Amino acid sequence: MKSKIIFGSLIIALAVLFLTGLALGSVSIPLPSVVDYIFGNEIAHSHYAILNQIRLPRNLTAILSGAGLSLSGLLLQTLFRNPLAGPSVLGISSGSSLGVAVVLLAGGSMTGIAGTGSVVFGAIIGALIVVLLISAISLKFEDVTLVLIAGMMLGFLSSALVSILAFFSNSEQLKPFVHWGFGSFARLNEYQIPTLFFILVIAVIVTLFLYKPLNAFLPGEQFAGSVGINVQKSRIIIILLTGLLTGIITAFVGPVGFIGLAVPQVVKMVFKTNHHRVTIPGSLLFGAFIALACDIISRIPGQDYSLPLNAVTALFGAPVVLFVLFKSRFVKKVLS
Amino acid sequence: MTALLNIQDLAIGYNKNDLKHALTKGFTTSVFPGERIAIMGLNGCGKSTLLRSITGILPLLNGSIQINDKEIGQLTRRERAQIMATVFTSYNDPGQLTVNEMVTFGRYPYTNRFNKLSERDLLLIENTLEVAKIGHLRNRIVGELSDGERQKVMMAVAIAQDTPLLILDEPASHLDIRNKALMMNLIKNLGEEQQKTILFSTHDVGLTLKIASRVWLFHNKRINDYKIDEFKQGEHWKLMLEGLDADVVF
Amino acid sequence: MGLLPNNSIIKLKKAGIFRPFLYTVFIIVMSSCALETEQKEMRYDYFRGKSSVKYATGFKVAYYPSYKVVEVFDNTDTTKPAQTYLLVEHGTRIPEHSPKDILVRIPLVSVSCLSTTHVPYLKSLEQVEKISGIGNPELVLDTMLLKQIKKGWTMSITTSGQVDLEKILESNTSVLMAYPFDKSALESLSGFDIPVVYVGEYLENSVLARAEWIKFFALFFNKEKMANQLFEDIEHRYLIAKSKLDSVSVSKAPTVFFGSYYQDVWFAPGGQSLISGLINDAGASYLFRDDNSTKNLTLDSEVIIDEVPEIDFWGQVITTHEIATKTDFMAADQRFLKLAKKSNTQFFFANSKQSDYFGQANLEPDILLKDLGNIFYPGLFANHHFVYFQPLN
Repeated sequence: MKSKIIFGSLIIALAVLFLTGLALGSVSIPLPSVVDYIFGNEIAHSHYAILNQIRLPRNLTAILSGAGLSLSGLLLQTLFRNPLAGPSVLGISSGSSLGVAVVLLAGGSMTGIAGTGSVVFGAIIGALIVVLLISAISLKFEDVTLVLIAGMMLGFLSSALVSILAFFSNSEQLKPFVHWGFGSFARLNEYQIPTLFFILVIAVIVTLFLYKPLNAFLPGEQFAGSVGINVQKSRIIIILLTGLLTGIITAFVGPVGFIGLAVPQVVKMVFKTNHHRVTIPGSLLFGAFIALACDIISRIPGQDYSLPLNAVTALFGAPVVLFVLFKSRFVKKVLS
Repeated sequence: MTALLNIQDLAIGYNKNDLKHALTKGFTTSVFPGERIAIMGLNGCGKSTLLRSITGILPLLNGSIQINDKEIGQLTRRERAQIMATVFTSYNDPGQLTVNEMVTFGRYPYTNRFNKLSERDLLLIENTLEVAKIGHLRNRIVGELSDGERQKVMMAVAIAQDTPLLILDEPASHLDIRNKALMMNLIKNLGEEQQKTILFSTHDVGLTLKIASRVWLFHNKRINDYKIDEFKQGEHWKLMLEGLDADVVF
Repeated sequence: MGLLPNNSIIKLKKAGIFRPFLYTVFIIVMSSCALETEQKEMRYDYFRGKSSVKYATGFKVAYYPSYKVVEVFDNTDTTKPAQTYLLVEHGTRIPEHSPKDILVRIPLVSVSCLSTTHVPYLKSLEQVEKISGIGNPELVLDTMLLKQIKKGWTMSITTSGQVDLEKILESNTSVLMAYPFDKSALESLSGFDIPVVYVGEYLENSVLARAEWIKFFALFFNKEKMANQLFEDIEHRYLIAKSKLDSVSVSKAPTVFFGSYYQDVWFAPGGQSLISGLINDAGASYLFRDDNSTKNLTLDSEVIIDEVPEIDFWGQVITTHEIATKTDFMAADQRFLKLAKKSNTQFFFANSKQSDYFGQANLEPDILLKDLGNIFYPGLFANHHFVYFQPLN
């Protein structure tokens, strides 16, 4: 029942955070205006445009992306039975970056105005290629840790290719790519958000179908096989699902690190369980919360400065991972 | 009485295409309900391979294994999990899961997508906790248990699976004398009172003599099949000590 | 009613024809009036002042009675415009156009400038008060604009140097003047009905072409007459200064190197770049005048070591507050410092923190030329004091 209380508080906190996200930004909009906006009353035209077309989509994007990335992280940590597994670890984010780099840096003048559409396309293709390679490797190798290492290597390879492309580009091509690389929840328009929502919903549904295999994987794949789980099939589905989910989110908002890695850790620590009936909704909810919180923090520093999103997520994520690792039995055993 | 398992002309090994280097060939036998078969042999001779072949993890090099007249390879994973339960020694810390939650996983082959447990399921789980004598541990975290307690939990999962066939890989290794005794009693109980068929691999001759009803002994790339009395009197375990001068005392 | 005899009128009235007849006449007259207005509108030329482009390659304009078609070109393609703008006079009909063309109502009531280099152009056209938003306000040097910023009349539209959509919306601007570099940040503006005009004055490779962009800005405010006059003066002054430099007879023109050091690499403008043209017009010979590119060249340190002792003049643009010393020039690299001590090279520089080298200088190419002239041929322009370029003591 304690978890019910925690869930309840999380939902309330998320709602409060959402309101904060509407009220804060680089232009100061008085609180009464924000309240008026929520209740559908008339407010200044420019303020309405800001709230409705900038802050509202931004908040929604943060929530959807945070939930999606955390879910990916949870799935990967279960599959690889390793607390260090995250969407960026498998090289999926790097694959997306490579796809975007090809579009923006090698694509030349064909891009630029073609803008966001081709960038999204490139990022998804990049993620898919990595995902397919990882799936193929997974079919070949019994030991799941080998797959993890292969993923990391693919990530390094992609990053190296991106460096090469960047080295040979001029500053005009480089700037939009670097800009994308900073990651931001402020990029989606009102047509893209429903797409993101739809994808997240599908991802959650597929995850629910994976409910038993996920739990059964916790004591090991041999154990899972023994209680009747189709291990190979489940592995592939998990990899494909996380790949596509991460790829699409990265395509839209750029590479955002640490949320997929840190949030599932915190959830397991707070709820004191690994069981997926708790960790799945917990990761979704808490991921949404953290992503929105990081976004708001990045807006806060005064009116004329803002922090890059990835810096804030790292400031949150890295200490969390360290803390969890120190507390975990895994490390205690190793150190003893 | 009809056989539970029918093994015909079995050849096993790690490389499916390499019949020449099979660990054993031409093994034919039947297993009947209630039998407790100890699989013995020196390290690397093929005990684990045999178990993995029976559980379907490894493909057979030759021959067939039929369970209830169905070819093992033809079963779906769910069907197979309802017929045989396996307990291996390798263990992965599942993190924060309670004993109760773990044992519940034993019902996975029977439940729906979300593991909705029926009255019967719940009853079975209760029973299992009783039989394995871990009722007092039900809310403890699996990772925090001692080796012996954990081994019992793994057995409990297998019992909860309610299968006619149990396959155990070195069930009593790493256990202190007290836990070993408890494990031996449990296995004997499962065989005698619940009529489960148990296949277990072991190095421990004493264990074999105490609880097995039959022995499969790997020797010179063949499997010798003995009834327990035969094994006891013939002292066939000495085959494993071939060429040594040592005088072993039990 | 003196046109018709009284009895006829009475007869018509009695026939009941009068009313429908009156109505018909009324309709015919009104239609022809409307038609005439439309034709008038089409015939009426709203733009008394018109500009033609002489030097600049980055934009073209075509005039129609009530609208202007402005094409903007970028480096990649000189035949097809990168973007077409339709500048339509307020209150007139919008002509047929392709959906890719951007529509702008003129004259502009308010404008936001992403780059402070736009400000001098607007200043000469007396349109500073129309600036409601400015990017990087900390870089603004114009006093009038600074006052406006202080009063809150003009607001910042960037945050941490990046375009800030919220601020742009808050600034209530009708048009954003940006630059064709990293357009991805401006994608979202299309959703807000704020047209974005890509101003590419910095892509021009001759000083006169860059100055001629004053005509581009004028298009948006119907200030062509003023722009034409201003540019004519600029061109005139420049050509006079140039001819004076042409008439200087020297056995060999002084050689000039212009470059800066960044992360282990030396960068120098290409042979077809603006600096190259300016130096050559100033009666000197730019070291890489024979190079064919307009972009920056990257040079190995060895090239520098090889060429420096032979060079007559070496120039750089300093962008920090630091007073330029020889050490700054040589990027504090020991190898170069030794060379500098040995050589007879004279150094000159422009400091963008002390003068508006990146902004106002675009409109004063004659002054740039005279600066260089006095550096290469001291005293040539007797009453001219250094404004942008100056020699290093």
